[in-house]
Amino acid sequence: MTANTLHELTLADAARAVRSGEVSSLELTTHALTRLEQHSPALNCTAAIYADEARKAAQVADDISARGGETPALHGVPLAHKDMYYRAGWTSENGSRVRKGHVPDITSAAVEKLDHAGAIDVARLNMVEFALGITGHNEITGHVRNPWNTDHITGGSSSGSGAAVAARLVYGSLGSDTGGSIRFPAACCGITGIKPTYGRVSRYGAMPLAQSLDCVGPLARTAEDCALLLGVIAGHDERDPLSNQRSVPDYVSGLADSVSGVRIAVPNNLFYDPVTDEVRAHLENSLAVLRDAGAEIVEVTIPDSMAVANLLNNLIGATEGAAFHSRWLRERPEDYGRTTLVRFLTGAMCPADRYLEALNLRSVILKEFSEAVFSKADLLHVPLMPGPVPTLEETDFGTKKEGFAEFLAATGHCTRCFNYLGLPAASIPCGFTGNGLPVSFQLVGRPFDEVAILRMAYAYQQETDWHTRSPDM
Amino acid sequence: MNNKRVEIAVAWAEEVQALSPASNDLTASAEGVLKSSDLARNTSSDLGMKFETEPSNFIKLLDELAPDDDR
Repeated sequence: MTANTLHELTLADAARAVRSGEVSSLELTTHALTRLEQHSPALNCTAAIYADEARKAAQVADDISARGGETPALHGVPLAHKDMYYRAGWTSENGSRVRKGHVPDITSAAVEKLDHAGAIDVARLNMVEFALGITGHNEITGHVRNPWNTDHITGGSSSGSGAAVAARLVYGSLGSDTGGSIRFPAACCGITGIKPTYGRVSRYGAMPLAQSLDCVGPLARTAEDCALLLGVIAGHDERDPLSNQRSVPDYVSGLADSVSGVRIAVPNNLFYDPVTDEVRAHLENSLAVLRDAGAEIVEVTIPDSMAVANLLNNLIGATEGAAFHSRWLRERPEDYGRTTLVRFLTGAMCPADRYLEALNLRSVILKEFSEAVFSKADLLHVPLMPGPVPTLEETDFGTKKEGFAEFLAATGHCTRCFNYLGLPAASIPCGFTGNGLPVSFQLVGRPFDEVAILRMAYAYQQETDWHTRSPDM
Repeated sequence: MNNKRVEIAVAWAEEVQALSPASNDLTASAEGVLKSSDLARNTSSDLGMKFETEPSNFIKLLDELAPDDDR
């Protein structure tokens, strides 16, 4: 392989290449740093690049390789993460003015695990202010731009992660998802991302948005890459008491198992309401591929109670977010971007009984949903973005000052409800719309059944090449 | 949206919750929370009789609905 092709490797291939000695970590890391420095300005995807630290870490990785012996799963592979994963002594600003210059004294559990797995941390990536937004706009740090067309949104709130992975600047990234913030950037940028089950990955050391909803998860180029990353970061952590005690399966070893007979549910109501004909055609094509791979497609009716799940997710998210930001909202409201401020203020005014009602109803709606879907199928196939990826201008609600609630309702129609229910869900690229931007479908699984999602996504990616396409940089 | 309701909500935000951003931001937030609160109240009322009393039941339910570990 040549320097011109190093960035085209998947994360899994890069890890294999380092392990086999075909390429050194220093070569991979230097190449990633060069591309970050070259392309970040146009994309505005990085908050900081750790060039010296990364080169030193890569050299250490190569020294370890030279001594021989077994190396961990991500040995020597450069990654970069959303600017909300703390590393002790390193700045983490969460896309905000409020946290400008913030230096945490703890390191996040997910970053620790990636470090132990040998990954090289090369940059912190721009994000929506305090992770509160689905388009990628940020009035404070500037908007991240979609590498497929820089006039278009990346999706948010893990906007820098979506752009950097899609542009082949890094091999993978940690994002977070409270209402779609891994899945939207993955969908808008044409890469793969998975929001794990609530509690699958420790949130220790990650900036919180809504403690009842937040999930840590990976964005990468392929299902195999996501499986690798998830396998590293998943698992119980005593420092996050809500992280689940269940054992972590090997997400990678069974990826190539046959999906023959696996049942995929397709809804005959609710989720397709706002979807355009163009996107619907791509979704139907993706189902045809999965059917040809051996999956059984079954039609299901989504319970009426799911119609309110998005709204209840919003109530919980805004209220818990407002609680975390309580002091800053009162002492320095002028330091927030307007869109962020209005949404947090909404939470600060939410009646307590509405909030508690929203929490209490989760079990009720989850039981009804599970009975309607997972008694008949193993996975649910639904849309993600309902239409083509829009431009930054047409979704600039910080400037427009109106229309945001309607856009949020329509665009978040197929994502927030799964955060509300705590279910795992992944975004898988399945084509391009007429404006040249990617389109994706979403697979939702039973709690803690990320294995089924990743296996089906892998099967889809063996039959298609959407995930191999990269923007012309 | 009833202006009086919005005014009351803004006043409550300022006087009780001690929030003091620009007034048009509070107005926008008040309109949003009143709208979503009304929708949630009206839509949730039918489900209200099925309340679980402890949110921690949700965490337990996620474990119960998961496939067996030995798959």
